[in-house]
Amino acid sequence: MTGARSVADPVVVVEGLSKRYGETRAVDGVSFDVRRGEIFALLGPNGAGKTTTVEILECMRTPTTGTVRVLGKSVTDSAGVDSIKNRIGVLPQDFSALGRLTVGENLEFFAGMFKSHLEVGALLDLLEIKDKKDVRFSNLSGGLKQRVGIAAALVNDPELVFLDEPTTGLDPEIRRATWKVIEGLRSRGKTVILTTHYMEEAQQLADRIAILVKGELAALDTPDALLKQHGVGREMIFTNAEDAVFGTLRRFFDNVSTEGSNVVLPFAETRDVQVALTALAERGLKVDMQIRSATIEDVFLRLAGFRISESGEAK
Amino acid sequence: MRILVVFRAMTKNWLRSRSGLFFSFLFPVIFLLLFGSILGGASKPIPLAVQNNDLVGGVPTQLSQSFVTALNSTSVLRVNPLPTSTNVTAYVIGQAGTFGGAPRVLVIPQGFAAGLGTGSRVNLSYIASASDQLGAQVGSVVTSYADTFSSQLGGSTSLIGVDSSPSSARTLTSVDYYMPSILAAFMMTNGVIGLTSIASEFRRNGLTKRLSATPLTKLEWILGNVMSQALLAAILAGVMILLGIVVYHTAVTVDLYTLVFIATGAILFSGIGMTLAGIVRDPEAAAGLGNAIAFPMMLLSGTYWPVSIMPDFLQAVARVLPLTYFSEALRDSMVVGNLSAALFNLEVVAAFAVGFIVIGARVTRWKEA
Ligand SMILES: Nc1ncnc2c1ncn2[C@@H]1O[C@H](COP(=O)(O)OP(=O)(O)OP(=O)(O)O)[C@@H](O)[C@H]1O
Ligand SMILES: [Mg+2]
Repeated sequence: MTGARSVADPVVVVEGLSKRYGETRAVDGVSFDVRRGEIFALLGPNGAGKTTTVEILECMRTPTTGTVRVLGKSVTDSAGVDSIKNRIGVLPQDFSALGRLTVGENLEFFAGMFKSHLEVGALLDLLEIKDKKDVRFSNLSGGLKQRVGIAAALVNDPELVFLDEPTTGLDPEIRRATWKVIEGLRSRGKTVILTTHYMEEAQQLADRIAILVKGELAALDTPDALLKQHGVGREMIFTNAEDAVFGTLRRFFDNVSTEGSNVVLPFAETRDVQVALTALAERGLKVDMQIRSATIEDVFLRLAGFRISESGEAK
Repeated sequence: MRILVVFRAMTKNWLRSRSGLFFSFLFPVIFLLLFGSILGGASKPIPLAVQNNDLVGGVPTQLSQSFVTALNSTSVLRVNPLPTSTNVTAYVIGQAGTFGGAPRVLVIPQGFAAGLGTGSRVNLSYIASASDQLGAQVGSVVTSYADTFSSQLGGSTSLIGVDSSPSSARTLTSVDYYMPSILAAFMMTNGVIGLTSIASEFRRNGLTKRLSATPLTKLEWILGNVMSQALLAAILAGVMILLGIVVYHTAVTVDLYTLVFIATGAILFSGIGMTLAGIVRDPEAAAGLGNAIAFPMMLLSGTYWPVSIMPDFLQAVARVLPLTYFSEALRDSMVVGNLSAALFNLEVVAAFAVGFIVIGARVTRWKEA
């Protein structure tokens, strides 16, 4: 290991990573770095290769080609693997623990795998599940199970935490609570790599987003930069507008269009809103107008050519 | 020690499972009680071998023959004639080792009729095994018939004496026979069915995968599970032995060897469980395969009937089943007291155990492809 670690030190370096299962190219020539202290999101639909990628970083799968260094060690070198496993935390997709053991006993169990580990009491506090300490794992709700999974990923006080779809299947309120927990990890100086198929989650949490489509990296940047580069800007939406609205706006703007009973007008300058509203008011047209900002979803649609459903399917 | 952490967690998780407890402990106990009550309580005539040496010109004398007939006419005893050519000592030892073989031999000496005719006292010898609970009972039955017979002859009741000489050969009652083999069989099902379904369930729900992302090694995982199985086997053995002693007064030997046998068996059956769970991906299919292997093995390995009464080709099958050897090892060490035979069987069990642990370790996937 070289010198003092700085924020710019990459925690993970992936170069030309490919993984094939027979004919299936699960991951295809992917390269990226993950920087210390950031939340790095791998965003993609089901089958995009998210789990395959993180499990290679977790030393649980072997790459077909490419080099992967995690915390300065190669994931294909057995001495490196031992060191990596001691310093990472893992929340697998569909986390499960010992059903008939309590939350506390399960955390003791996972803690027992490491030479040095945090106090279970401290972990329970951190994840605000102290009151669940003596509840059997099998009796917990999905959201709490996931929280125990995150606690288990933190037992060894890891530098790098992998969260594979941490909020899939949780209801929106619990999802938001989990986001807070994940943001808390960043503020404790952990590097977090998370996978998700929720656009909002990536946008909300990630410092940088890697968009993964069919095993390939379609884009990688901060949410803002992605929006700037690939975003569709903002749109005015006139809901349930009469025909005259479209006709009026058409005189000022070429790019106005209709979507059902709505009239949609993309715009770049705030001044355009003024122009449109004045023109409509002068003709005595009453309108109901909303402004929609571009989201990562729009970026994704543009890059991938499809959307992702709530359940993660490409559509 | 990570092995101990796995051991503790697995044991706790199992002991808190109602169905696990039922199949691991209660079911075997019910089984033994059922077997004991079906086979132990029967009041059939008790077999008694009689060797009549009182021959004149190669034919039994009238008097000795009527004594034998009188013994047989009681509903208590069933007399099996033993040829005069048979060496009684060898016969007793040979019978003692077989299932249900409880040698009780009455020897009528040459000169029985002649002696009684002159009014002098004659002595019969009665040989039974010291560990045969019915042996002494049969002895007193024989004595009382001898008294009756001699008083009917018009003489005193003390004309016929019965010298009892207890044999040191141990005999097997039905519970003696079944207790070790039922214990062996349920240790087998705990590993082959129980551990198989648990381990494959852990693989399905991702626990194994989660653990493989920690410093825990595959070998530590397997050994922790084996230790947990060994403890369960020891508890099961304790329960079964206690039941045998308290309810059926079985004379079992429990010593350090017993522990070694139980541990070796537990390793063997955990190895089979780990192997099956490693080979079959789907937990339902794995449990199904476990059942498909466990039940025929149980039937063919001398659990419920001696291997020796099966047709030759099934005996050949039994000879390749590890449970056959384990069952015999337990019986030899715990009830027959034939340690050298037990140790031979133990060697076979140990070889199987090493083999299956190695295969189990190979097929358990700690890293995805
Ligand atoms: N062990 C395996 N053997 C064969 N194919 C596999 C294996 N694991 C994954 N795949 C295939 O590789 C591709 C990528 O799978 P992966 O699980 O990495 O995707 P993912 O992005 O995590 O999807 P999801 O949202 O469903 O978790 C899929 O087509 C999948 O079917
Ligand atoms: Mg996945």
